[in-house]
Amino acid sequence: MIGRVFIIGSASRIGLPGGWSIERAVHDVVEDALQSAEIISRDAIDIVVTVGSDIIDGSMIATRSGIAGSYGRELITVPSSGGHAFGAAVALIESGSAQTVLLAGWGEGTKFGAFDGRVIQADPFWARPVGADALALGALQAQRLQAGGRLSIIDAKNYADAMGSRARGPNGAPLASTAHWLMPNWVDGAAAIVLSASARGREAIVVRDFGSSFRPYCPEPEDFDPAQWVVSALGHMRDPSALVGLSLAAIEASAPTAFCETLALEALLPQTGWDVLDARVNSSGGGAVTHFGPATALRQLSFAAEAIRGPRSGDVAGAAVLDLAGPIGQATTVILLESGSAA
Amino acid sequence: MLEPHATRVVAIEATFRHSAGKLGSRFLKALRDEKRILGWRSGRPERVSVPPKDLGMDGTWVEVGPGARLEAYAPPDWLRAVGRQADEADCLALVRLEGADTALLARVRRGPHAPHLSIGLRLVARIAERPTGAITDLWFEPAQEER
Repeated sequence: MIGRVFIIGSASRIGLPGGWSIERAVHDVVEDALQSAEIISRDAIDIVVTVGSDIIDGSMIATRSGIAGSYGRELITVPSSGGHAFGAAVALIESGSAQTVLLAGWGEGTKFGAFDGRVIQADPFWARPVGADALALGALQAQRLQAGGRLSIIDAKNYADAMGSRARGPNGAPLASTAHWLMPNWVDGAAAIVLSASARGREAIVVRDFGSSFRPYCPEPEDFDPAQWVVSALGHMRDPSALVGLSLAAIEASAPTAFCETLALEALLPQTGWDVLDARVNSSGGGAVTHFGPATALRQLSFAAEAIRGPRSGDVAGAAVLDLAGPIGQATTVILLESGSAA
Repeated sequence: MLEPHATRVVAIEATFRHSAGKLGSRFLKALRDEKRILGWRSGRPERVSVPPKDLGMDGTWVEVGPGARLEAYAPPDWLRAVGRQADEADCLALVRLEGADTALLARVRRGPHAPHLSIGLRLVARIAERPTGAITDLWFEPAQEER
């Protein structure tokens, strides 16, 4: 088990690019997360960990959330994945470097994917020159998995449609009526989580365990299966048996594409007996149809925390979050949360 | 509706000089100067990687190809379905060269009379007449007997 680290507050928001103010949303999710943690003064935050598509996005969180003037506060940017940023925040508390950490991230749909003309991207020698951008690489991954009998495109389409109908925007209306199985549904989004060494009198949500695994930009042909990546990440947990016996209230997953997400979920669902369309799986709509880049998984973490706080029948409640980041989801992290009463 | 923040758009133009590293540079120079495709045999157990993976261990260069096998490809019709221009005759693929244990991303050019792509299709490497020292100097076509 992780040394005692608690989630004491969280918040998230998503909206369609151009239809709202993402700058204001970054401010508001931080404000809401601090309020839900009952933290009145930003001085209670020792370190801020940010995640976005690059360092500039990360540093903007300080400005947009009103903490830029607090000189001396440590600001750490993790521009790789929400799962990795969460791991960094947990490690800071475990090591005693901080008592309370604000973890925040955001992303703009218009900055990515088909809208993105940037050329400074991963793998400038072997992948980018031959046209291996995120979409083409995702199609290659899907073709490989379909040919190997691991992917049903019909199932992936059904999953994308179902998740699209669940995702809600700022006004509560369905956000992603056109979700596609092969590519991210880009939105603007922001999320913030407050972690602490103490439950501070709040209903405790404990970080039970954490595991991560990583593939290169282009994995080997026999190694394209997201479910295997999740299994590999589970194997890097401190207590690989943590999942067994934990009564899950929710599973939240975030991958760049619906087909990647649904395959990743297959690694956990047999242990719950749930179907991939079960209401306890991705009540958020999942990350593929509400994708705002590397920070997307923070929204899944926020929903998972809410699911544990919600009404439940048993004494033991946990939640699992799968984060598959990168062009094809090859930066894989599994996070297990648990209600304090069971810890 | 949330009250928006004041914003100002500032253009960022940045260039960066990437390095292919010691092994990657040797691979690209061999492609350009000798028109040879090299693999790097290294690791425990030993594997031949193309492009070369620097595992921080000693290794040896071996020549690989020109024969190859198609491992996967990005179906052009899937890409067109989401608005991407994609050519049936030239698509992104994952290819394993003969003598290599790993696969590399490359373009496969089929031409008008080539068979439909399928995993396992035999390919042959082609190198540009005037190589420039980039991976785009190298592409693949269906092997003669597959045409």
